[in-house]
Amino acid sequence: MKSSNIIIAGVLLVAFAAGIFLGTRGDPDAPDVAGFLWPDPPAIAEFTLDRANGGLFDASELSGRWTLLFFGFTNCPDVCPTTMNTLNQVYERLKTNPAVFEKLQVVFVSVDPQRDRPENLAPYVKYFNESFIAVTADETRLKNFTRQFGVLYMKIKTPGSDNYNMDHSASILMVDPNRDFVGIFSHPHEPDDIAKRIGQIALFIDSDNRGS
Amino acid sequence: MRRSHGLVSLALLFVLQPTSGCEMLAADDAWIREPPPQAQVAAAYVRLNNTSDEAVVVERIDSTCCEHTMIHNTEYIDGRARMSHIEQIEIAAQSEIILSPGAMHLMLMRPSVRLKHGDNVSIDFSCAGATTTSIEFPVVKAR
Repeated sequence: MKSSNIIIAGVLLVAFAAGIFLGTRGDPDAPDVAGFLWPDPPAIAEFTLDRANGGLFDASELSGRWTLLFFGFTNCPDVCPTTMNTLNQVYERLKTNPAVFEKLQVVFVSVDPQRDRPENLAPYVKYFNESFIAVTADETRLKNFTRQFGVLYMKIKTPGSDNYNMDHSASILMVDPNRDFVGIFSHPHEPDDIAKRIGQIALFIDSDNRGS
Repeated sequence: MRRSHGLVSLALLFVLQPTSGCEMLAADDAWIREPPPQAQVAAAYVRLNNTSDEAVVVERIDSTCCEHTMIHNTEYIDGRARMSHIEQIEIAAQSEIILSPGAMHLMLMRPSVRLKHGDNVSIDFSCAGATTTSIEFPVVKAR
C-alpha cells in the first residue's frame, strides 16, 4: 500500500471514528445508535466492481437498497467465516422487519483479488447464504471503492513461506438507499444487536423521507 | 564476571522451571469450523485445561489432515483484524485457556480433502519434555 493511500485512508478512518464518537449530537431527532454516521453520512461516489457470477456491480446497485458490506478474503480461516455467519444470522433476524428486509442486500468484498478470482467467490458466499453477493476488482478499482469507506487492508507475508495473509477491516458497514454510508458495526458482532441497530437507523432514515 | 554468573543462573532457572507434559491437558469443546468451498484453510477451536500443578507448554501441533498446521492469534487493531503466528501456548497450573473464534485458534492449511461436517480430525499436541497427546476435533457447520 502506498504511503499516500495509507494517509488518506487513515484520515477517513479517523473522520469516521470521530463521527461515531460524536454520535448523533448534531441532530437531536436522530436515534442514539452506536455506529450511526449522522448527520453527515459520506455519499458513495461512482465505482465499478466485478460480480462473482459475472457482470459488474456498480454504484447504481446501491440505490434503493439497504446494503451491508464486509471486506475479507476466502483464505481467512477465522474472522471472515465468523463474520459471514454473523451476517447470515443478522439477515435471518431482519426477516421480521419487512421495511428493511425487502430492500436488503449483503455484499462480501474480497480484498485479495490475486487469489480470489470472481468465479471462485460465488460458491464461497453461497455457502453462507444463497442471496449473498460477492465482488472484487483489480487493485485500482478496489482502492477506489474501499477508500470511500476508509477501509484499510494490506498483504502480510508469512515468514519463511510464499504464503501471505491479509490485514483487513473487521467491521460490517451499512449503506442506505440514497447511497450514503450510514453505519459502522465494529467487532465484536452480536446478531441481535446489529439487527436492532440496523432497524433503528433504517426507521429514522425512512421516517425522515430520506429512503427511496 | 559476577553479572555473567547471574545471567547463567537466571537461564538455568528458566530452563529448569518445572513443566508438565501434554498428558496433563484435558480438552473440552473441540471443534473445527467446516470451511466453505474454495477456502484452503480452516480453524480449530478448543478449551484446554491444565490439570497439573505445573505449567504446560504446547510447542507445536501436527495433523495428517493438512499440509501445514500453526497456532494463530487474531488481534483487532484500529478496527482491523490481524492474524499472527504464535510460537507456543503456555497454560498455567490448574488453569485453562480457550481457543475461540476471533481469538487464538489453530490454523489448518491446505487440507488434503475438503473437511466436511461430520468428519473427525485428529490433532497432535506436542509439549515441552517431548510428550504428545492427540485430541479429536469434530468438523461442524458454523455455530
